Amino acid sequence: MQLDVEHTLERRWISLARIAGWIRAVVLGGTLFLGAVVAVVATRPGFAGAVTLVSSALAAFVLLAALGHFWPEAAWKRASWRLGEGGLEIRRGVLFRTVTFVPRSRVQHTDVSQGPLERQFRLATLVVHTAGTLHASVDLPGLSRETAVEIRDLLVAGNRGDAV
Amino acid sequence: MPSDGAYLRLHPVSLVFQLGAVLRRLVGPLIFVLLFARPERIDVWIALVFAPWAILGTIVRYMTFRYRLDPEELVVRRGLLRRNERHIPYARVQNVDLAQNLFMRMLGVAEVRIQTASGAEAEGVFKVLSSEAIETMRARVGRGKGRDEDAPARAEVLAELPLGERILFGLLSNRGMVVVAAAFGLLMQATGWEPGKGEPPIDPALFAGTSLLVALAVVLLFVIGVRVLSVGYALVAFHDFSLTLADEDLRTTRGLLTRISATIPRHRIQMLSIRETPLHRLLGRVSVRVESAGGAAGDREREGRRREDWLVPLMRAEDLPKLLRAIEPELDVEGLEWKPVHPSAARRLVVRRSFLFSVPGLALSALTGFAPAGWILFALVVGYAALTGYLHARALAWAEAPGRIAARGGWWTRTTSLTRHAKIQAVESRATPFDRRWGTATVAVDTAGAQRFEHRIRIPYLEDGLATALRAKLSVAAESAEFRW
Repeated sequence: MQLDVEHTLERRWISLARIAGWIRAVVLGGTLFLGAVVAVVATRPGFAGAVTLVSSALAAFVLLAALGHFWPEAAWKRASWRLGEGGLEIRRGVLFRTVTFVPRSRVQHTDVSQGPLERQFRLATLVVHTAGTLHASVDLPGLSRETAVEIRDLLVAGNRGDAV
Repeated sequence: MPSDGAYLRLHPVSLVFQLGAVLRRLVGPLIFVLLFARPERIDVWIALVFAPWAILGTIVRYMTFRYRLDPEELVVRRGLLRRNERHIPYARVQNVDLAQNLFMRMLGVAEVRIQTASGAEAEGVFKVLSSEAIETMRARVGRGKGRDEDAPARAEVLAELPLGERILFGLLSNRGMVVVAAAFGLLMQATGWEPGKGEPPIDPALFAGTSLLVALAVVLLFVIGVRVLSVGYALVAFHDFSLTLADEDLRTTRGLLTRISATIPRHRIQMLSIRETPLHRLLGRVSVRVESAGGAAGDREREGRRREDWLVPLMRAEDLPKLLRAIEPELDVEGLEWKPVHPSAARRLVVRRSFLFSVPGLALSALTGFAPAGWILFALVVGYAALTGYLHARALAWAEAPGRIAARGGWWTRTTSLTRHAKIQAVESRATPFDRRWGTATVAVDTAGAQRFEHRIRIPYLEDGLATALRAKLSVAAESAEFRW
């Protein structure tokens, strides 16, 4: 792998994030809808009240679904990573744009993890652990498994100073 | 003597202290609740069921705990079902910390906690050891670290807290509130009263007729009472306080009833914070705090003993440079060039705070039914928000020094924090949508052992180019400065 090159996340991550977003929308929206139905049955607020409750639950669902569908693309466009001599730099965030840098020598250990959805998409998340507190673990999703492993190996390989 | 290869047990009286700790947790609340509470409090009965097991467990732990002081390392054996043998090379031992309560002092024993660089909790906890055993252990550890067994360590007293200073510290701090809160909690438990539920212990109708003056007097008495408690706490907890520097270790000792001795190796200091409130400034005092890690990091309160993070609770501002020179010799604190943040910070903070505080302000005026008095309240609240926002923006500053980064902030409690590049774990820059509109960003640095709600090296409202440059500079500096626990 070339160092000091800005990489984007894998494109298929967008589909993955979309599916996750839809699942979330269905689960949350479904719960809200059920809650609205229960509220209508329990309190019997009359036609207007029932319509308000149910339609607000539906509106919430639509909002969540829209977010789940359109957000990942924006997030993908704003996400990139770069592995350099000094360490790993990760840029993320649509509204709150962050650039996080973990120096090579501060990497304590790394995880390459894959959830069930990620496995379907042949994607993985690299989690880099430091001795810090707010950045005790730094996530980098949307990587192919091979890339994640490559970054991990490169991060650790340069790390021969066992300073204790 | 310890070196003959036989395993040693803890001092016999340890069982008493260990059981005591367990029983204290059970018996105190138990008696209290039995006397005062209703029998349907099932959690009491559950606690009673577990009590014998806890006691049995403590006895078993005492019986199975053994240690040995080998030439090169400390060996500790524990456990009945799961047996554990731990070897701690003396060369790896960072601290030997002591805690001694009144009874322990009377009996000449102390609780010893041995810490290595491994960043977890104390690796060896000995509750309790006799003073001879402690001395032997300390000598062995010292020898293992290459120090001469009998040579006195070069120790320099950096700070002390004479009586007047202790009283002042008590007056300036808020420990009294902790006692009040605890008493309140006890009261609620005893009478089954919670705000909004049940019968209040004192009939509120009693207060219906009292005048404003009396109410104010009561509040004043309360405040004074809290301060008196604070002073009492300070007098006891910081009795005979001293901060010494011996070789590479900072050691604090303090306490009247419970004597605590804690060591922080200098290189374990992750961040140093200097604090002053307006009262402090008025009196020409500051307080110094450190965050250290690679020790009892998760160990905040263990059986009532706080992890030491006060370096000096109170000292004269003019003595500060001398203290800092001793701890961080390469740093020139007075020579720091403090740079302000972006000029738009004041405007933004004022607007943001006014918005935030307008909500409770509106709520308050709603309580009065939106009467003129209510709107005055609203104006006061928002005015307070705006003013403090402005002051806050004015107080924000940052500075660079060779090998270090410093940040300052806080409109009431002004905190100045410094960290070395070698202690930086990660660097982050962050831009909110507002930041983007104004062309600024925040640069923050992550360190080990940072406390949740304490000051951090976080510099907001930095102009974009400056923020990027600073982030890059800190990233390079952090990578090239080796991190050592």
